[in-house]
Amino acid sequence: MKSERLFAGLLWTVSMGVCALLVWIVVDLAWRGIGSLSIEFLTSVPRDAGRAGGISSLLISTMWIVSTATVVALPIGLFSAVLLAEGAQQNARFARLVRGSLDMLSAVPSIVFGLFGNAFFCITLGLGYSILSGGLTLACMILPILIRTIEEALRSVPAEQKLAASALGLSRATTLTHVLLPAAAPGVAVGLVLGIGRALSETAALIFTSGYVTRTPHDLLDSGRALSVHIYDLAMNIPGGNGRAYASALVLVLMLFVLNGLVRLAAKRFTKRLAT
Amino acid sequence: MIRAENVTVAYGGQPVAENITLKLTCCRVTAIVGPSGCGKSSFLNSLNRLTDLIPTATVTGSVWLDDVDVLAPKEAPPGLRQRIGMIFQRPNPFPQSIERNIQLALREHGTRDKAKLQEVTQTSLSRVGLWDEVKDRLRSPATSLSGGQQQRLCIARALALEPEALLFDEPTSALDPIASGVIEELISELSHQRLAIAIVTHDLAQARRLADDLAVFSFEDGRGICQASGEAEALFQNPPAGAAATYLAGAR
Repeated sequence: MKSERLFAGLLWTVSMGVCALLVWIVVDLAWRGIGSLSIEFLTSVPRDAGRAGGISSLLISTMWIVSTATVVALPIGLFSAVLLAEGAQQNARFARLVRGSLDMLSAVPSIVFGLFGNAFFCITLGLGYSILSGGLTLACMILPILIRTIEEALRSVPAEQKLAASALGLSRATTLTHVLLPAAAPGVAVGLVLGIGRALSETAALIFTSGYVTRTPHDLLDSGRALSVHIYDLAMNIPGGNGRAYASALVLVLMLFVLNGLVRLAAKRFTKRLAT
Repeated sequence: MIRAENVTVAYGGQPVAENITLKLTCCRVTAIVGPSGCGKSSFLNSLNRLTDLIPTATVTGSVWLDDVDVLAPKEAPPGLRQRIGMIFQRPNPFPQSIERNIQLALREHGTRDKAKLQEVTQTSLSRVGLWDEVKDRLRSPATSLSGGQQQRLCIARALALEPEALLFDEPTSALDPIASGVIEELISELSHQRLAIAIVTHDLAQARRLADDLAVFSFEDGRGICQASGEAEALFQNPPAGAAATYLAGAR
């Protein structure tokens, strides 16, 4: 019985440790950042390389970049995942190849994605340092996560449901849109949260693609600085930028929390709407 | 009426049910019994070509639905699965509303008119005795129903397409005795409503209660064969010699 208690204690300690880590990070950020945080901080543009002013233009750039990445990656990810989960039986070797490539891609460091994005989107496609280049680079980067999570979600739909759909003579398209996707929606949401989370917090892939300037972007072809790039810059290159760096990081983490909640809510709504 | 002639189902070249010849007649219940693994379900699945879903499965022989051999074309003929419905061992409603479960396939097969959809929903739910139980919560999730209700919903879902035959693959084995009884009664009731019914079951007592016709499957050289078929009553009273007799006598 003693070993039983020891084991339970170990499990408990470890899982508490994980929670404690998150709490620590958030508390630390709040502690050091909350002093610089204000409505004005959120609504004004940075001045004096970020030592003064706020982060409004960076928030706008970040939203644009992440939205571009999501809008591009979601449909591609969805279709690829469907192909892998549903079409793999007919073409096992091809599916293995795609899955292998995805696993490799997800292990590629983000700085490499940044260099690729710079070479391909900025230079070859002539998009220059722009929100679009950054968004597309991020889309490439989050695709592996997105595809694998959605694929898993589709796979975990019980085989009985697919059987039921076939026995009723439903086409593959109807089965997908009305049976599989509603059932897989929560999983798709998890994929989206992971993907968007990664996109929001990305720094290295954006420095060479969406650029560095702190002004508010006019359109997708304008360049803009993402919040995470700003944090990096404040913390590493700007003496006296630490307080603002913490405040920006706090905003970033809060954005992640909010996004997480929103995506989950949307998935719930989506499931419900398709299901009634 | 469905006539299976010399149907052999094989997985990866390995036959599991061999040379089955069997007739399902309108307004009669045909029970298919026999020990586990002798190809009863595989045979049942071949009748509406659900075996197509298993990449390694091959089916030879003919299944005549009226004058059409449904096994002949490369793809399942359109409408086949509307005409031959199937109910599975575990109730498998879609994780959607009760109403939607009935209407999804109807819409797919071309019924768009709202009034018509509602009418069919009501009649199919009534036919399985579920209408009074669920008419006030047609929009609640089907998964909120009990196991027995879910199974009846699945039957209603198949009935909504106005099939000529229903195939039941051990429809009560995942249900409690009371729910099983309700399903059994329903099956015998449905058989009087211009439907040909086949039911695979492990429950000999159930077969005795339900069956008009009986098919006894057994093993021969590791393959499932149909050892005897015919009027249920005659077969139960005068079992043919061999493995089938032993099985029907409940001996091991």
